[in-house]
Amino acid sequence: MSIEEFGTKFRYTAPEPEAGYWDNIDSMIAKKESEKNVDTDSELVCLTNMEQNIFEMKNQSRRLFTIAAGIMLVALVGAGVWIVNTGDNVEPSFASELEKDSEDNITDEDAVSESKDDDKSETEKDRKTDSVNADDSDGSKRATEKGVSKDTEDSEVLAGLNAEKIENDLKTEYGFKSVSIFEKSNMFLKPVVPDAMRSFGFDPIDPYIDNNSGKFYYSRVSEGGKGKIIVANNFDGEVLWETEADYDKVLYADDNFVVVSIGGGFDYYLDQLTGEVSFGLENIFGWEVAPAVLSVDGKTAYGIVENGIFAWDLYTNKVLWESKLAATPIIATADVIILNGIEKDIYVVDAGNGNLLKTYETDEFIKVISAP
Amino acid sequence: MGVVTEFNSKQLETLVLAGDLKAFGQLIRLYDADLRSVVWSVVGSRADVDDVMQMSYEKAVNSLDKFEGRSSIKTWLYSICYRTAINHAKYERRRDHESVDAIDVSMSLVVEDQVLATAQVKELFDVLDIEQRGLLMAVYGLGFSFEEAGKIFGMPKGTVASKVGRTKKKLEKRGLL
Repeated sequence: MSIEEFGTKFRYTAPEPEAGYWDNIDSMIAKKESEKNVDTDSELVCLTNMEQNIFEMKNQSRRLFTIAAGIMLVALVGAGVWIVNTGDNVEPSFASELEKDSEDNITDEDAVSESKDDDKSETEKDRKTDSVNADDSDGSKRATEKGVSKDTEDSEVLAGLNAEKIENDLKTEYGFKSVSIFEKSNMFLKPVVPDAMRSFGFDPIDPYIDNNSGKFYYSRVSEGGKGKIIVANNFDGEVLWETEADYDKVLYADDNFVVVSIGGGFDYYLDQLTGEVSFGLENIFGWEVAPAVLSVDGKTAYGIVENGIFAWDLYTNKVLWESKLAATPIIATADVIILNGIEKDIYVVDAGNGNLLKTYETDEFIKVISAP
Repeated sequence: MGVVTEFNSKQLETLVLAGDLKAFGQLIRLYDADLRSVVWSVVGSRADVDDVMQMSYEKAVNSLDKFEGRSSIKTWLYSICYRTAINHAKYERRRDHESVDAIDVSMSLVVEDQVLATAQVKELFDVLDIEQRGLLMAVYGLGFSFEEAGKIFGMPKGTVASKVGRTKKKLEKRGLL
């Protein structure tokens, strides 16, 4: 029995809902709905109360205004007496009293907003305290566990690798491919579909342009699943060939190979001219190989095997090195490979020999590569 | 006279996003069978599946206003169901083989050609851990791609691939494949 068959049969063992299951769920939803309505009612009540409070505040304000006006009047009389006595020509105006009054009102509002600011600054203070505590308990622990000093060598380890460089590595003529590092920070770089493709009715997902010739355009046809790879002339949309089998996406293309993944743990290398399978990464270690990351020149593949990761020369079919590191390669440059580790770690590994150069937390890594 | 309107899942999702809880009730009726198969793969007990499903739906209803639409509602629901099932399994501290005892044997006999034999299911629950069973169900039972499964299970695509590879190996070793 194949695993697909096994999985399908496993699915049919799932039990049907028991009697009363939907009644319980419906009553839960109905309850939530009525709570929601009550909330809306209480919001209205709150609003009404607020209006009432505002009304009372206005009344109080009027009373205060009367008192203030009385005091002002006394002061003016006093001032008038003083002017008469000194001979200065000052004309006190009623407007100034109104201004004063409105200033008093603003002061009331300011009092409210200040208290808000106080709350805010307290919250920020708390947050800062929390983060300090978190750093103390987590950051130092991590650094000790990894045995890597994080204060040094960023510039050396990541020399030539910054956010701009990563974008360049993945840049196609028509945009950028998404990168899982960026996905972690919720940044999605969407590829742009050329008009020639659109006019021929293509709806390409994960498009790929051959940077050398700029001529071919690769895509799969259906979103959310596997689909045929279509190769078309980038300028007029003419289809050159399409695969019979479904694949997940195009990883790389040059004059010799088109490297595709079926997402099922294998990468295949198709003849660039015909689309026929030249060879696959399947079972080179007696183990299924997860979709691999390719070096910038497309000559080396870095993938996952049961006990770690490996580097494989695509042209000589030889294993260059193996490592026990439990991580998923994300991207490779000429010098280093970036890998997703467990627990949100990012590993930087020497592309030449697989040695671990440095470990980062994801946020820290993004900060480092994004720094100018 | 009331008008009965049947919406498709897309329309229902739109209504749900607008805060329509009745639409949520209709939507989960469409998704329930698939969602419960993931829960089943984790908890392995008939009675617990219903409980976990209800807890999951309650969580979803309570946090619907926080849903930001980064994934589809269905993926979001899968994720909630999976996490709730994991928490439930941990809380109950059930050993895999204990929970499988609750499988209704007659169910397997009635639809024998469609389902695995009870002994096979019991062995499956014995040999695979919770995560492997969940992934087996998602990828081969429900046909999710590694990428989609990764979103639900909260792990990178490559990790899903290698874990599924290990699962296959284990099943082969036990002679289940």
